[in-house]
Amino acid sequence: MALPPNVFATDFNAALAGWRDAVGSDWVFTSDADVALYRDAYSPYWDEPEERRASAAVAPSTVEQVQAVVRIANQYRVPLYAISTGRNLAYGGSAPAYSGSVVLDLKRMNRVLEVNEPNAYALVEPGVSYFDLYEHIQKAKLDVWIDPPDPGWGSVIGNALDGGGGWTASPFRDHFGSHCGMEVVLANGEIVRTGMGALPNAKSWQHSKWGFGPWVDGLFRQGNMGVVTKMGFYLMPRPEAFQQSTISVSREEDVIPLLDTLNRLENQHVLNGSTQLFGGGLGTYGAQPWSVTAPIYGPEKVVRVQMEYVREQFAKVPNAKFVEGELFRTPLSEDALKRVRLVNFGIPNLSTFGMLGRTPQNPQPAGGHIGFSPIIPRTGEAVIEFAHFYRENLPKVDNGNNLGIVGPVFMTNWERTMVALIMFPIGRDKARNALMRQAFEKWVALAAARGWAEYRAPTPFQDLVAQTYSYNNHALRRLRETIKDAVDPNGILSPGRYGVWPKHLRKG
Amino acid sequence: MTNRRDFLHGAALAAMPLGTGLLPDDATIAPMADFHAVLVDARHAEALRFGARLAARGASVRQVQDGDITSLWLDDIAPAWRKAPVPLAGLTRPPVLFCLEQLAWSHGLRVVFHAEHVVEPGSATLHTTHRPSYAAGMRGPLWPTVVADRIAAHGARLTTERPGPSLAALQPELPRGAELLTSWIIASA
Repeated sequence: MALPPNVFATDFNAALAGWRDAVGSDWVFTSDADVALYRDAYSPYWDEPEERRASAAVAPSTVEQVQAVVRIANQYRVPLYAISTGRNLAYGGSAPAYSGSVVLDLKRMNRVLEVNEPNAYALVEPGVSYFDLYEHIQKAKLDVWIDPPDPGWGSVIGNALDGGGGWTASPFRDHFGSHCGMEVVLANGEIVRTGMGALPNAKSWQHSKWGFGPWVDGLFRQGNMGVVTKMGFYLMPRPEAFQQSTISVSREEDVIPLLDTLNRLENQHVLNGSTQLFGGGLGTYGAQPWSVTAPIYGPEKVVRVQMEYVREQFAKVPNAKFVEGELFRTPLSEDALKRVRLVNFGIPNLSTFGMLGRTPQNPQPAGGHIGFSPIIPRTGEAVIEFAHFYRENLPKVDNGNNLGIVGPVFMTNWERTMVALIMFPIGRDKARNALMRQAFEKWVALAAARGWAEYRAPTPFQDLVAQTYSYNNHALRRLRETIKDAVDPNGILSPGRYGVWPKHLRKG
Repeated sequence: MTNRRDFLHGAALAAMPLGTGLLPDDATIAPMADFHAVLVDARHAEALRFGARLAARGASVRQVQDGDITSLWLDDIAPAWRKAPVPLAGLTRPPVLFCLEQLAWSHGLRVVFHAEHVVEPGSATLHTTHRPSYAAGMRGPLWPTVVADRIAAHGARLTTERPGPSLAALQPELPRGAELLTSWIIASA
């Protein structure tokens, strides 16, 4: 059994004994085989000394047990790393940011506490997966949709806290943005409820997110200021219909009016589905043409009128080709279910994994991958700049190693936001993984020099990315550190997560 | 760590005529009725052959379409595991095992048998056994049948100490054009 860093064996054993009393001995894991289950399956340091590994894990089932675990950790200064279900693959999984931390595994807290159909919201615990919430809603025959990511086996709360997104209509696709109220256990074991939940016997916790006074929920997104034990989410009343058009242009410069039109229609809420921009990558014959998907959810009559308006607007884009897709009525028929992308209809699935394995496009699959996810302006000019930037720098970064880096995928899932995703394969070959890490670090630096930075990063690169947010001598990082020191003076909660370290572990 | 009983069992397996792929229908090999299901990747003839062999031993074989286990998971495996940690076996591409392994942990199940098969057109299939370490000897064109017999012989028992994660998440370097298949057992551990 490994010891957490800077913790004496006697203290660690006392903490373990305390946790066994608090949650039951079956739910404190110390054997190598059990603790190994918390390794990051896609770690770019897999089986290397630098791989982030836990020393133990503890799995409470109630908020009271979470309080007890945290208090004991505070007493013995043992670092914890909270996870919901730990499926944040490509961004760290369930492995801690600080090696030797004890994983605080919340997947046993898996109750759907409420699904309110008239007001379309849910209140859940961290162990509730998208599958769980979907099944709960189906069994109860409620006429609301969830917004699953792809794949959809992870935690609803975990995905939101990590900054994940989905594929149905706005505003539901921004999972943190569509939450409403949370319950948090602080480092001293105290429970805080945010928004209207701060009112004893609150009647509107999931009805209004802001409450009274400064809003603190953002401290817990990609954060380490507390352990979120409940969270409310807006759900989508089932729309009557869905229709998607695809608009393509062959000349690169035409992506500028293409995206301008897309943005205007989205910002007017004429288009409300998860749009997607394709192109800019390197195909067999060089740079690929551009296309966007333009989906609409709503009553069928309205969808048809909106789609006609969308067609008119894109007709003004030079050389644009408009293809109107099939209109689907919901609930989907058995036949329709086979022809759609299920996540667009709020149905969680694992089909993404079926695409892994050898394909003509991916002749050397590595199995794992990590994501480089810089935010760029949502303009055609920025997209062209990034596509050129990628083409120019890929040979330098790859350095003749045929690393199989895939990108850029321009993600327009969130309103007003563009992520230019690049994927790095991770496999068993340590030398190749080392080249991949070097390449990742180069992309971070190259992108930051252009004014682009990631919204999310794999655990081993979170410090590197956090350092790029350096305006005014790292004022933002210093503000976060000030808050961290105030709410978690012993630095026991997820030290290092997203580049926020407690005082005793800061370097320099 | 391998104990004496496992060592002897391994020695017995090693004595079988595995190289030919023509195992006799041996009454000492357990029927597959204890397994909840055997999963085979419908895209691969080798997997279908593996499934046919185990179906003949009484296994309930499910074909995984397009490598997607969603419906199998939601409609079949998850309900079964909620009731009891029943074992599964399969011959699939690695992501199927990866997904099921991750989902299995919450139900007290682990990967207790794991072998990999590098299928390369025009070449002999290369086999590597990761767990348990003694299960070597799979070769020849009828290897899916041999592997099926290995799975049947192994059953749902745990032959080593409680295992950690398998290697299903990450793949080795493969020859160009090769496909990696994996045979596996997930069982209570």
